[in-house]
Amino acid sequence: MLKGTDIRRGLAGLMLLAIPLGLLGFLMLMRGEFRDVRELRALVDQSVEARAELAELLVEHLNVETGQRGYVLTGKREFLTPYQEGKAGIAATFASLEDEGRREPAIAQGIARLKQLSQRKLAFVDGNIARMQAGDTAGARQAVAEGEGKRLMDAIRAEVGRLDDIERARLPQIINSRDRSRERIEQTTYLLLGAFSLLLALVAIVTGRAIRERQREFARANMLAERNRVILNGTVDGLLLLDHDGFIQGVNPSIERLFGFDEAHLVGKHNTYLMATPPKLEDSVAWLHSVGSAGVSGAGRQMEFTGRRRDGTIFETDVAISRIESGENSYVAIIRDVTDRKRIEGMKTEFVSTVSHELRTPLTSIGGSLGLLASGAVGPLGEKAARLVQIAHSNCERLIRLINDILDIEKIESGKMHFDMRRMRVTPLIDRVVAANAQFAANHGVTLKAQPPAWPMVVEGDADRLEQLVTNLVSNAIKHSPRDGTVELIAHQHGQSVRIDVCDRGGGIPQEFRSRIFGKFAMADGSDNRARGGTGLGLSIAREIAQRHGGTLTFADRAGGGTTFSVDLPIICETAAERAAAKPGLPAVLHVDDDHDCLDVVASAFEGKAAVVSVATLEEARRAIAARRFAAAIVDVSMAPENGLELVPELRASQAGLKVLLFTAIDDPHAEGRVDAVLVKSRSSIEDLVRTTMRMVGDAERNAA
Amino acid sequence: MTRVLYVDDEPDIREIAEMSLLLDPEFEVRTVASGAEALGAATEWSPDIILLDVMMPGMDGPTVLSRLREEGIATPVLFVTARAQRSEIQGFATLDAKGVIAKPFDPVSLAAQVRAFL
Repeated sequence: MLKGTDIRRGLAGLMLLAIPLGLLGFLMLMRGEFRDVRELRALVDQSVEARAELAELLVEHLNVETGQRGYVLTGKREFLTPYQEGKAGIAATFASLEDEGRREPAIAQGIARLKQLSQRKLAFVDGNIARMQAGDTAGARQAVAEGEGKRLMDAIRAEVGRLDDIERARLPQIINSRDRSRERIEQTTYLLLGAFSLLLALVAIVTGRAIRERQREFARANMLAERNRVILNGTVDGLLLLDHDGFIQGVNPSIERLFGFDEAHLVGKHNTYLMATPPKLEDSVAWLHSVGSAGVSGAGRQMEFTGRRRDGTIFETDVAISRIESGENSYVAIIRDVTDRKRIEGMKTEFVSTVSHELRTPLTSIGGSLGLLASGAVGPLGEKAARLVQIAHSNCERLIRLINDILDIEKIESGKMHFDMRRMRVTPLIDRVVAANAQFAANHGVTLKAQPPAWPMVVEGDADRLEQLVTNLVSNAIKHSPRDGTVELIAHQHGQSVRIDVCDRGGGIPQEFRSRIFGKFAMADGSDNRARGGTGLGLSIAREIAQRHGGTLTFADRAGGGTTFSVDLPIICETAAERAAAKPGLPAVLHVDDDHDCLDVVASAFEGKAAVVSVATLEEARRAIAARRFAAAIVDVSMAPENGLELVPELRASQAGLKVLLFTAIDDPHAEGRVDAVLVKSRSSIEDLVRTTMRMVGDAERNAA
Repeated sequence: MTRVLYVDDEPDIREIAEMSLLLDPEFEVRTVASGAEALGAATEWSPDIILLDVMMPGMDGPTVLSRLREEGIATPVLFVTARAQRSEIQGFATLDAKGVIAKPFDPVSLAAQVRAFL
């Protein structure tokens, strides 16, 4: 697209090109005009010369006439000199005139006539001279007296006069045309001057505009640079400009203030120089290269490091690093001294902790007293007194829960909630939650039903925090269930996650409350809260715990009324070897089956009796056999495209005394004699399999003993 | 009879703890108000278990525990604390405490909680 500046620039270029072209044209024109003027001048000169020559011609003829008359009348020979000179002059003058007079026919004809007259005159004079020389003085004088010479002379004079007139008439003509030419030159000059002036003015305007624009841009760039400089210099945070590999290119004054090093000292050093415990250079560079630009991911990457000052003291910092994407990548690191913030955070934590302690101490006395009174341990109370004590006791417990929840929220927000992550099975978690909530459910007249996972699922988590999370959901469900209602706690596989559903038949979650259900102090309404005795922090804490486990907490309406809260936690896939290694002292059993459900069910059934190594392919089975000894092997036959029977001789060959069982859907695998037992899946239960296997393993051990 | 020594600088809590523990008819309870008294009672009365408040003026619970062990008294110790934070609890485990009871405790089940550690 063409911009205004482009058009103006093109125009200025064109004009600049037009100036020399115009000048060239002007020069040509002027040269033409000057040539005309030169020609005119030549014409004028010619005309003047011609008139002079005509006058001379007349004089020469007079000289000739005078010389002839003088000689004829006096006989003195000296009169022959002007005669001869005149004759010579006439010839020369005619030669000159004829040469010039050719241009105009009138003049040429006049000159021809004049020449004719002149010849006649000269012939007449020559005749008289000849008569004189021949001694015929009388004849000569006679001829002179007859007046022929005078007549010829008059005719010559008249002819000269006519020619002179013509020449005289030509001059004004020439001068006129010269004036016209001068006018033309003048006009052309003015025109060109005008055009040039216009062009120059236009060029000046366009150039001026371009210059002004450039000046404005320059001023703006200067202003921006100055503004950035002031921002960078004035900002409290330290700023490092890093090159592609993290070497310092520049710093702002705050860096000098924070670290005590001046810019000259830091430029060229790697940024890890400022760290108390610098990482390996290549690690730091690799990390830096992984940083996206601010535009790509918000404010770049944030991290914390411990800074080292010039005097060796250290301090805590927060750093935000952003990539500058122009040409060679460089980076800006904004460093903030968080010593004060950390101190204040520490004070806040200490304050909350102290306050909670100070609150808990009197609450221990109040809660203890009320608990003992309410339990009837110190004697019976009157009906009204018992009711009042119960109210005081339940509210005291609520206050205690509130303090605990506030502490948890504080820990979550300050990032101080620690999670002791370990691999754990889901079933015991469900069992603990049921045990912990049984009394509470009974108090509300609610039945708590639990359905542990169908196979032993493992998650990585903090057992106490997960129990807190699920308990929170269960107690919420109980609180919101109608009397004689049922709360279900169901664990099952959902994609790559364990899903724990907590289902109630309560009134559901009001539409307008759904968006802020996980917020702090979120409660559907105040009256509800008082009725249920919650703190409004439970779900906020629960979701945080789920998220910190890499999981999610969601809710949905239940068909037929009520709500289901679902916790999804990633399933950890324990390798067979890990599972076996976790149970020392139990006999090792290899189970080969391409049906994963079957593997899980069998492993689960052997729990506590044998360490089952479950593998799904013959290849895995071979690796397992090579790795350790087994007491028994349970093998499936049809493992498309493989056949489990192929494995039997290998098992026998590699491990002596190993019991081999076929556990297959095929009715008659024709394997008698080759294996120790055959169990058909549709006819024998898993319990039969376990019993048979354990009996055989017992036999093997007795035989070995 | 099982002898339980309860150490806490708060007289109200001492009283309630004593009443709560006595809900178990097999418990014999004595309460003291400071670490110094606790050291004396531990030697002279030889309790079966000691419940130690963590935050006490003068000598705090962990100090009392290490002094007991220095004097060769191996009586099991439970900490009672209003600051039942995980990091502290883990610290107590390395201090050779048998367990931690969080304040505020449930008076009705306190005796059962203590019995679980015996």
